[in-house]
Parts: sequence; C-alpha cells; structure tokens
Amino acid sequence: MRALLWVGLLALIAALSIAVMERGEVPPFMDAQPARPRSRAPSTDLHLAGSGSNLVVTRALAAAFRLHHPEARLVVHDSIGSTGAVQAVADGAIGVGLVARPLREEERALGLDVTPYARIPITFIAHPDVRDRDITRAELVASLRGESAAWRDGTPLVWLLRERGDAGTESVAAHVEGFGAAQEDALLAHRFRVLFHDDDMARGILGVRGALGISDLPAARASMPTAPILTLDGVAASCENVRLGRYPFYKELAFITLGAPTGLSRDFLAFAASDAGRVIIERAGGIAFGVAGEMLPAEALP
Amino acid sequence: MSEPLGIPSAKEELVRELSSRLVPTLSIFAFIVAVSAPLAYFWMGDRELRQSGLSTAEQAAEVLARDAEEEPLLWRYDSLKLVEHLRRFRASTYVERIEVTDLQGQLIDDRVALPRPGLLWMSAPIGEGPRRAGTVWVGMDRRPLRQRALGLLVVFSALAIVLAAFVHRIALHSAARAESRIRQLMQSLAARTADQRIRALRLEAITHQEEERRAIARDLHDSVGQSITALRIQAEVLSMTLDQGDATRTRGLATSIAKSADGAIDEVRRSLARLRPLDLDDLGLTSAITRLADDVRERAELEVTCEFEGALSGLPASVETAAYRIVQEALTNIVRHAREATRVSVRVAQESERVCIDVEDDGLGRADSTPGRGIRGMSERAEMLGGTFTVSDVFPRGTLVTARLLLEDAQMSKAEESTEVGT
Repeated sequence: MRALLWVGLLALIAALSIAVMERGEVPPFMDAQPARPRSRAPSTDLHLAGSGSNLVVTRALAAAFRLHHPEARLVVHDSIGSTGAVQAVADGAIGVGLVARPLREEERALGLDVTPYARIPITFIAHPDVRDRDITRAELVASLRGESAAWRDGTPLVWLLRERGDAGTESVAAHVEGFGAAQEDALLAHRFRVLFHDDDMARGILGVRGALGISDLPAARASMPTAPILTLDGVAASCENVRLGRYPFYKELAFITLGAPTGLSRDFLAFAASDAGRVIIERAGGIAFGVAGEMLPAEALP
Repeated sequence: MSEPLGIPSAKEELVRELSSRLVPTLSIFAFIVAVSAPLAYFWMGDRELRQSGLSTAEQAAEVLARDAEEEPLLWRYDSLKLVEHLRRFRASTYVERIEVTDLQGQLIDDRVALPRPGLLWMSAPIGEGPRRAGTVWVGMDRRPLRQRALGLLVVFSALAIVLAAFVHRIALHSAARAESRIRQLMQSLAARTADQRIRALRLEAITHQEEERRAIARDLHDSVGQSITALRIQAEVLSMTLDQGDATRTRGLATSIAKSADGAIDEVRRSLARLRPLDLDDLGLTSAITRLADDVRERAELEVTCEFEGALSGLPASVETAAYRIVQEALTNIVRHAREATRVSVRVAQESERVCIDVEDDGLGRADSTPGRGIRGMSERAEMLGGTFTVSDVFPRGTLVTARLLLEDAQMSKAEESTEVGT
C-alpha cells in the first residue's frame, strides 16, 4: 500500500511536470489588440496593386495614361494578390486594387466599388523543352494525381501549383471534372511545389525541366515568350476562343476602389474603359469590356 | 509448530524487514519505469513539434522577407494569401495557427479571431537587422501530444506497479526460501553437533565408569578384602580359642569379628553407593531428595523446601540418578558457595516428555562465575539425556539452577544399552 502511495505521488509529480512544461514565448497580439492604424497613400499619387494577372495589362494602361496625363504619378506595385488588394484598398494603403476573382461575401461588406474591365484567357504552359503542344482534361487530372507523371516523350511532368484560392486554378477546377479534388489532394500531400506569385511561376516554368503550370495569356506572352502554351483538347487558349465560348478557362479582371472612384482613380478607370484603353487591353492579351462591363466583339474595337 | 496468536513468526518478521528495505528501492524503480518512457515521449515529441513549428515559421518568413524587400509598403497584404494557404495546408497536424505581425507587433491579418491561449508559439523574423519587416508566428497545439504522454504515463504506471509487485513477491519468496533452507541447515548442523557432543559425553562417561570400577575394585581389595582376610584370621584364632576353652577370650574375639564384619559391610555399602545412590532404591526419588534436603537443613541450618509435581515414578534409572545427582550437587554447591543463603527451594516436576528440576537459593553466589567441576558434571548429566542445564542469577539476589531431562532420550539410551547387552 505504501509502495502504491509512493508511485502515485511520483507519477503525479511527473504528470504535473508534463502539464507545466515550458510553453515558449507569447506573441504580442495575445494581449489586447489595438485597432490597426490605417495608412493612406498621398492623395497626389495613385497606387495600384493586386493580382499578378492584372499587372501586364495594368502596366500597359498606366504607361499610356501617363502619356495623356504627364502630371499624374501612377505607381503599379508588384503582385500582392487579389486578397491583398482588397485589404489594401480597404485600409486606404492604395487607391486602386486589382483583382482577378469575384469578391467574397465578407469582402463585399467592405464598401468597395468594383469595376470589371477585362477578361484574360488562362493558359496551360510548359517548359520550353517540352515537345507536347496539347493536353487533355483527363491528362491534367491524372498527372495532378501523380498517376501519369511524364510527357509523351518520357520527360517527367512536374506540376507547379498556385496557392489555394488562385483565380486561374479555381477557374480550371470549375470546368475540369476531378481537377479541384486532385489539386486539393496534391496540396495536402505536398506532392508538388506551390508558388505564390506570377513571376515565381514564370521562373519555375522556364527553369524546371518538364514543368507544367497555369498562368494567364498576358503574363505568358510577357514573361515566358519561349514557353509553349498548350491547347486543351485541341482548343487554343486565345482571346478569340474565349470570346466565342470555345475555351472556358479565363479570369475576369476588375478595378476596386473604396467607394466610387474619384480624382485620379476615376480618370484612370475612365481611361481603361475608353477606346484607347480597350485597344491597349486587347494588345496586351486581354478581352476588353465595354462601359457597362460587357464583353465587346472584336470588330467593336477601333 | 504453530506460533501463539499475536506473536509474529520469524518468517513474518523476515518479510516485514525485507519489505521495509525493498519498498523505497522498488518505489524508485517503479517511478523510473512509470515516468521515463512518457517523459521521453513527451520530450521528443515536444522537440519535434518545436522543430516543425520553427521550420514552418522560417519557410514563411523567407518568402515574406523577399516580398518585404521588393514591396516595403505592401508586403503585408501580399502575405495574406501565403498565410491563408499555409493555414489550409499546414505542414504538421500540430500547427493550429499561423500569424504574421509587423514591427509594431500588429497582426497583419486581423480578419480572423485571436488564437486561443495555451498554444506553443514558435517565431521567425521576416528579414534581418534594419531590413526586418515583421515576424511569422506559428502556434502549435500540444494537447494531443500531452494527452498521449499522460495516457502513456497511466499505462506505464500500471506496468510499474505490476512489475514492482512482481519483483517484491519474487524477492520475498526467494528470501523466505533461503531462510527456510538456512534454518534446515542450522538444524541439521545443530543435530550433528549435538550427536557429536553426546558421543563425546558417552565416551567420557565410559571413561568415568572404568575409573569408578577401578576405584571400587581397589576399595574392595584394600578395604573389604583386608577386612575379610582379618575376619578369616580372627575366625581361625577363635577356633583355636574354642579348643582351649577360654570363654572370655572367645567372647572378645567374637565381638571383634562382629565389628570387622560391620566394617566390611560399611565398606561394601559405600562402594555400592558410588555406583548408585542407595536411597533411590530404598526410598524412591522424592523421598531420596527429601532426605538430601533434610541433611542440608541439619548440616547447614538452611530452610530447605521441596516441591514435587507429577508422578515421578517409573522413571528410567538414568533419569532418576541424574535428577538425584543434580539436586545433590546443587545443594552441595549452595552449602559451599552461596554466602548468606537462608532459604533453598527444590522443585522437581515430571511433565509428559521431560523432568524439570529447579533449585533456587537466596545467597550471594554468581551465576556467571567460571563453572567448576560440579557445574560441569551437572551439565553433562543433563546433556547426556538430551536435556538442558542452566545457572542464572535471581533478582534481587540468589541463584537458580535449572535442568531439563528428556525422558525420550533416556528411554532410547536404555533401549540401546539393552540391545548392546543382548548382543
């Protein structure tokens, strides 16, 4: 009996030592979190930032806008993603946000004004050495699952994935059966490398032998001119095919502002919706929207 | 033989002693068994968990450091998609939260609820030195690890108790067996020693017997023989005197012959008494001892009381003789050595298997003094019969002589002697 008491007492000490073992440092935000100060950009500048899918088109628009408004100071930042754009506009850190996906429910509650301006085809793009020029929906899913891990010439196929929530990937998942689940499995299993920026994707496509990734047509043309853009089940990723409804993979680009655009923001958005702006968009690889946000036929362009 | 109620046996005492010595050792043993594996499991799991959290934080911080360098103003917004992705596809099941703070410690993503308390936080700086932009925090949930460690603790505690009880039982069982074996060996050794002692005593007794026989033969030759020779001469002289008709001389010679015959008879009686106390045959053990007491009372003016218990009849002659001689020697010692003694009590009792003799006085004798020939003789007589003999002091003064004579051994000795005679 005394032995049992001894053992019980010592085991209790051990249990307490396990329970109270060092917890590590405590982050500062575990205390009361004061309201985050909102940083507002200087009113004389127009800062634009957001999804990398917008950057090629937006930078082209900004360059043209500066020609017409030399006094204007426009800064197009590198990619911060659609989510970052929403938060940055809501914080007043930038004047115009660039998004490549519809706003989420909680984002719509922030009082943002959304101005869709273009649609861009999503492309399946491969390493320059890949000889294949076409890929099927079934091959997309099988390769993502790891079941078919080589190109037709035997080169290993290496997927370069985008993070969850990426607009291009979600568009593909919406139109290719089994793709979303296969991508989720691949992400959970950490089967393939995940990239968080368009320029990372460009570097990966050009640098990883046998690489296959998802990008958009403007970025593919601008950043990866030597990489082959694959046709999907024989259909090319072109504005024409998107416009005709033959190619279902695309993103819709939009400007967001905190409330109705004013000042330089309003001028820039107006320029983007002008004929000159639409021409720039089409040349950059996008399909320009009309004033009402509708997709215009090619012949409607000046 | 069963032990009296309330008095612990030697085995119980041994078990208690061993238990008191084993309990602390076994407790430490049980504690080590119970605690070592769970603690090691928790320690290693905690280390792996910290490593996992730190690795996640460092990887995220590395990506964000590059963003912060390229976009010092807007990197915080770019971090949102990375954090969202990492939250969804965390590298470890222990990772519960991933947060990013700026240099002021403000959460970059304040759209989600604050983490619950109790997480283990690992952190990595975004950028180094003056280019540091913030910190990545990875909150690890240690509850599953702790629960598994405590579960192991319960299991191993039970195992430790079982093992300790098993070892305790084995140790006690082995000790009890060893103690039993030792006791058997000691009993065997004691029996062998006693047997050797009895053989030595018997050899000594035979030697004494031969000495006694030679002494008796010498006595008979020197005294009784001389007396009978004198009687023969006196008888021849008496015959010649009868022929001469001298009545007066004849009467004188007859008287002288009668005295010589009495002397011879006394010599014979003394010799017989050396072989066996005559009073034993004439009076029996109790009366013979009573006579001894009467003699001492008269000679030494001591108050001597005798007490007899049991039948004290039909005893083997060896026991009767030994009892008589022991009482006789004890009384002699009291008269000789017990200074200022006034009272002596003699108790002789026959029990079922033994005869008990107790002789006690109130003199100033010392029980621990060097035993003399008389004491050794009494002891040898008792041991010869498989019994015991002790001399001890009595509080406040006096000496107690006790002897226990076994009847069974005496009867066996008697039977052996009969067998030897028969052969």
